Amino acid sequence: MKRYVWLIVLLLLVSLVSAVDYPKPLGYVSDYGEVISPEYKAQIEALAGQIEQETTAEIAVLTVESLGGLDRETYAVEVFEEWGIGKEDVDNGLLILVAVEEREWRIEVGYGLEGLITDAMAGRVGRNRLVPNFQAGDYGKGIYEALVDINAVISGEEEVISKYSSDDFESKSEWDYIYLIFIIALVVGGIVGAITKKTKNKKVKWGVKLGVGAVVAILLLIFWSYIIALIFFVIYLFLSGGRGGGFFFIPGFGGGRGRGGGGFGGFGGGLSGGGGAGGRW
Amino acid sequence: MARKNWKKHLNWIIPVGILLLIVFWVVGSYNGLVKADVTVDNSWADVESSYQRRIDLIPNLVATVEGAVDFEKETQTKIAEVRTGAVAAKASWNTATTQEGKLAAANQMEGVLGSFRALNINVERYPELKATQNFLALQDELAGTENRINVARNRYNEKVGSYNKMIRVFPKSMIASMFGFDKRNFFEAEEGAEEAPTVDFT
Repeated sequence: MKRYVWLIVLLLLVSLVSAVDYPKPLGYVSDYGEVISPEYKAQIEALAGQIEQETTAEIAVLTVESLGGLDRETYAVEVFEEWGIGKEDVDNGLLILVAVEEREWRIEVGYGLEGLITDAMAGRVGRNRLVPNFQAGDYGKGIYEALVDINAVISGEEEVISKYSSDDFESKSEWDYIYLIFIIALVVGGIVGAITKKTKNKKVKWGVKLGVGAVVAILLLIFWSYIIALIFFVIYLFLSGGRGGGFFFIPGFGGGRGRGGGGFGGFGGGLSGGGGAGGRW
Repeated sequence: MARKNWKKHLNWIIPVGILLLIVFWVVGSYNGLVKADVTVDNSWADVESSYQRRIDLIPNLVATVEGAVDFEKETQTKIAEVRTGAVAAKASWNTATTQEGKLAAANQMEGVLGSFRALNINVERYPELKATQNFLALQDELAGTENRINVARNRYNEKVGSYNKMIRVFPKSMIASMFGFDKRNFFEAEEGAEEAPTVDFT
């Protein structure tokens, strides 16, 4: 039994690891291209932090040496999805992507900001702020100025504001309840264990254990969710110890969603749908 | 005493336990399938709205180009033709109600866009057009629209793919056929439409 449990844990871990190798967020600014001076980096970080505090909108800056053969649109939309920029309920994220080798920029706008930052506006900010500064080699300045423009557009707008506070950046997924499920499984397992303690007959013991476990799992399934019920059942079987159980299906188990993390508190799970603009310099 | 009672109930406890497990699995599988099916519908809605966006936009773009410059007589006529085509495509989009109808209208617009591009208006020759903020803005909007269509299309196909896999893999396929979950169609791009058209009039 123990062996099966470890196998399941291993499979879950594997499914959490994503397939494509995009850079991980280091903060509001992820300067993998190493083009932003420390002074500007600090300024951009501060401004992005201020924007998040005031509007809950999340701005990410990513510079890369190269797009690795992908086009900038695909790269931006994939990184956006993987990082989950913006709060999940209103998708108020924005990504500024700079590819140094290709000399390409893209401002990718999350769903929730599309109404305020139109593609045309993103294009204008890029052409007027990013391009001239990038041509002069002043990457940090260009990005900072672009952020100032963006801030002016979104600040004070109701529709941007997420109901999640800045600290409460992570929306709850089933995995966040795992400790609770663990406790439930522990309590139920304990009670059943106490009841069947004196029972010598293995069949009876397991009949009771499986029966009670299944009933609780079905209650969880009806009143909570499928995944929760399954997790409970696995933990419960494991906790009630002994041999048995063995083989059961785990249908429909998708991988959990990895959350980017860093000192800045991580992004909130927002999504973009290809809005924004891009160009070369 | 109590122990004896347990033993007596054993006859039903084990079958009921197994039955519960089966019910548990069936309900879970069914819910998973419904969820996947709804996700496919939602992502199709995204595809449609991105096409809608394009169809609203193109007549604007054509009109802007038309109004910005004094083109030669020949070019003027051609642009007018494109505009008429765009209006017609928009009308057939608006009247279409089925997925097939929408697709046909989308492809009609694709053709209009193609003939607009075939005009090969060399922006370099018309500095007054290139300088128009309006034109630059529309170019951004059009590029953004094409990109949205691409993203929505890819996500739709992704969802269809995982749904189709789900209904075909044993043992869930049993549940799928029991409740009549049918295979969904991928969004096949038209010939020549695989690469997002860029609006580069150079």
